[in-house]
Amino acid sequence: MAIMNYDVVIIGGGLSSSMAALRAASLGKKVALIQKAWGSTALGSGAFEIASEEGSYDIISAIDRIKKENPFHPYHYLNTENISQAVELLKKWLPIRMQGSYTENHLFLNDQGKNKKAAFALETQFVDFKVVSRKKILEIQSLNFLNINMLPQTLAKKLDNPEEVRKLGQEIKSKFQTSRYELILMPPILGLDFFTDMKREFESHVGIPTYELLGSINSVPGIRFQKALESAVRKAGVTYISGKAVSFMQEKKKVSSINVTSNEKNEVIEGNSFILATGKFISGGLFRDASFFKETLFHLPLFYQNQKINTESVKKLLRENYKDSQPVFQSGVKVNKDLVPLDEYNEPLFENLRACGTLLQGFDPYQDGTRFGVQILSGYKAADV
Amino acid sequence: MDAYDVIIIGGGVNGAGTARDCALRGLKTLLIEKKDLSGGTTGASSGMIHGGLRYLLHDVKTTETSSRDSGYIQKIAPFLLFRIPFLFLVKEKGANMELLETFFEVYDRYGKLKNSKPHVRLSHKDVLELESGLHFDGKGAISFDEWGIDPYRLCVLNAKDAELHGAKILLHSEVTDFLFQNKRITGVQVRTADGKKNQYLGKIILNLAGPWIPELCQKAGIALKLRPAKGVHIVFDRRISNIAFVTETIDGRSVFLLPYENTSIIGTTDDDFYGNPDDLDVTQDEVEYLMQAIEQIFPSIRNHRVISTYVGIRPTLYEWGKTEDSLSREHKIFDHETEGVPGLISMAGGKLASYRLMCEELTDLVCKKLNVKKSCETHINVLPGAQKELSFEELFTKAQEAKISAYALSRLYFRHGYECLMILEKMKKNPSLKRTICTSEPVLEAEIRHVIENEWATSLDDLGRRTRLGWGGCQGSECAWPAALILQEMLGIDPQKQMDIFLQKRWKSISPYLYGHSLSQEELKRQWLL
Repeated sequence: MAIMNYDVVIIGGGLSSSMAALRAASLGKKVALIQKAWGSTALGSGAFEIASEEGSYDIISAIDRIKKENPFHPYHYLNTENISQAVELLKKWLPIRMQGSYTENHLFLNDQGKNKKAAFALETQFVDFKVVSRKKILEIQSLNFLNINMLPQTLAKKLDNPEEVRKLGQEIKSKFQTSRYELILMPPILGLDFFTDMKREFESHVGIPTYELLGSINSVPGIRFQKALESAVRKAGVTYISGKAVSFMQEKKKVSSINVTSNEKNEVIEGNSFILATGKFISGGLFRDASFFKETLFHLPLFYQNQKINTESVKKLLRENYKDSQPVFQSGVKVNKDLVPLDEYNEPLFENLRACGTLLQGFDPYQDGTRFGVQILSGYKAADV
Repeated sequence: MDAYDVIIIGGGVNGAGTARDCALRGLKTLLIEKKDLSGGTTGASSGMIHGGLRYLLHDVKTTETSSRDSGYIQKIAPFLLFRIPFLFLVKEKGANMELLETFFEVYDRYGKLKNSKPHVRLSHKDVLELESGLHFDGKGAISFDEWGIDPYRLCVLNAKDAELHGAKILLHSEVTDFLFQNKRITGVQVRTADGKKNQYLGKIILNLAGPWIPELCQKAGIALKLRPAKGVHIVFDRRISNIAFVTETIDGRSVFLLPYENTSIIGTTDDDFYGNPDDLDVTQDEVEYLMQAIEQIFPSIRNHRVISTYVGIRPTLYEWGKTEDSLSREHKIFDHETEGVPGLISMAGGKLASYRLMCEELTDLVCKKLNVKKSCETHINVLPGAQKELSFEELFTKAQEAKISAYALSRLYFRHGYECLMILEKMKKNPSLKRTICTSEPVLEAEIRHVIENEWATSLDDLGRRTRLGWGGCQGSECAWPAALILQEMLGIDPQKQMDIFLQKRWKSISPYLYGHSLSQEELKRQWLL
């Protein structure tokens, strides 16, 4: 059994853990990141939300409104005015381009015809609707006519090949007579690993600028972003440890090591400080059944609006309208302003543990439009020791 | 104003079945349904036309009629049926198997009426060999054989046949009042889907609205008492056992775990219901009650993913002083002429398996009143799609010719019988119709368009009932949107509104069981579809 020692050990492989890893590495630490599999970061739409509100595109005022309406939102203890520092660090390492602004939201359309406001998006998805009139945009919301019976990621991988892109371009050009339009909006499947090149390839065949809609079901941009994150984290000198963190060892009130198992081996990862970014239910960071509702590695207690929850009845944790912010999805780990997890008496449970990302209490990540902001800011702060 | 011989209120299997019987006997028939066909009790059934094993003890007549009529249903729509072999587990080590077998030998006699295989005695070793997931150290088991059926297709095909024989089917239309001439009911006032008010005259009005029967009777000034009972089922994302089995709940009731098409179902509860049948929900207690019962003998049940729950109300006949379980499942016809309100007849009680017989009795009464001398043919005339049976080899060959999967064609055959070849022809002519919309079933685009054109489908839920779209593991995450776009193209309906209604319903159905993988799936759907 191998034993390895690091300054900072991060558990989780999504956006907040990657952000924490990049930050810790930039501070000169020796960093390990334990990743079990892909989670909800790899399912993203391609857009990145900080905060938005009805009737305005201003991000700063939207952040203020969120804080006012939700007294438990992580933005109360995350320094939202420093978001540019965190994003610039991410952009520095990310091999793909994100486009957008910290102060003004941009309008996007997804492949289900829904309007979404977000601060950033992958560059192939960032289209300026003001530049061309809506009538001159060819919106292809689905590729029905192509008899495509494969998953979007399979199609996108196929379209990493310029020859396939050429065929698709010709088909779309003739089917829709693209010369009548000034811009094409289509589902985000133009390539998986080489999507910026393939977009250009596609444009050369259809003759007009082409942008991608935001993904929803089986979204490809999430995969692109996840792969880019992993490349960035590796380049920054962080060690990836592939496996599941199954248990931990502690000495007094400090975590001393994490036991990681994988198909090949068991490892013990020792560290001075630890960062937990294991996400919510999809990734298994939190688990709920009839007799259990806890964070799964350290068994940290969970809170909703600062009240400790156990195996609460459904009625307390769910709102009737599925579109409303749901307490079950707002439940999470309670932390102090340094992101150290607390028990119900506000005592830190472990001195050298920090938590970040969607496992924090106080916000419904897919509903309130602040997911990217919380992930980035909390990841950055958690590593700021 | 339109005038009919018979106006039927209620589009469940009784309403559709009676509309068919009336139309086949030449009566000018109108069927009015508040929402969609099979959306009430019929759709909330366990999906079996079973003989009612337990009724053998105290309600033999129900067992007999259910079994006999189950046999008739097999003749008129063989493609809708599938075998569900059951195990009756004998838990006491000292149980008298001979005595139990005697009981099942009697049941076998009724089983002959429905082509069920006779019982078999299994030893403890046999049971575990057959179903290794069972936590079982009892004496053994006794097998019995039941038929599963798609109750939605049964209902829709009855309505379809009624229409083919001249009946008018009016959906999404609510009867708001009766029309009177002195004390006689002469027709109905209806609010149609577009909000308009219409009146229809009918010589006889049949109240077949199930749980809504008393509410409608009130509009006629009649107090009809039923004892409505709520029943809940839990659905899992795959077949998790080899056979179906019956076990006991904490309060001694029988519940089952069934492999059912591409899912598994646990059912059911039976509780007096005092609320509004339009506003049903499943509680955490009800789900826990069922899960605990199955968990006793099938411990891995908690590891499997629940995909939805469903609920309905049985319009059981009224009796005071009995527990829900012991109430009779017989049906009863209420000729309100005897109460001084001629022109109106209600019918309640009964079981899915005996629907055809119930409709026959009712139509006989209607014909008697209208002096029409035609006898019932609903047990002889086959439903649309049953005119010719296709063997698996024939289906396989035709699928290969058309270049679609044999499995997809077999599912089309299961739902549409011989008519599946017509849908296949459309796919051959226009290959884009071969596109798979729902991968769980699968449901191909051709079938969706077919049911929109021919089976009154106007929403995602309607599509679900007719094709099981969105009822499998993904619960519509992948298929609801493309299907909504087809609805938009063909009917001009707003697809996002469709999605909202559909997703809200799915949320409600999974809310009582937001644990484990079910909860992860909801998080995923939130990310994809919110």
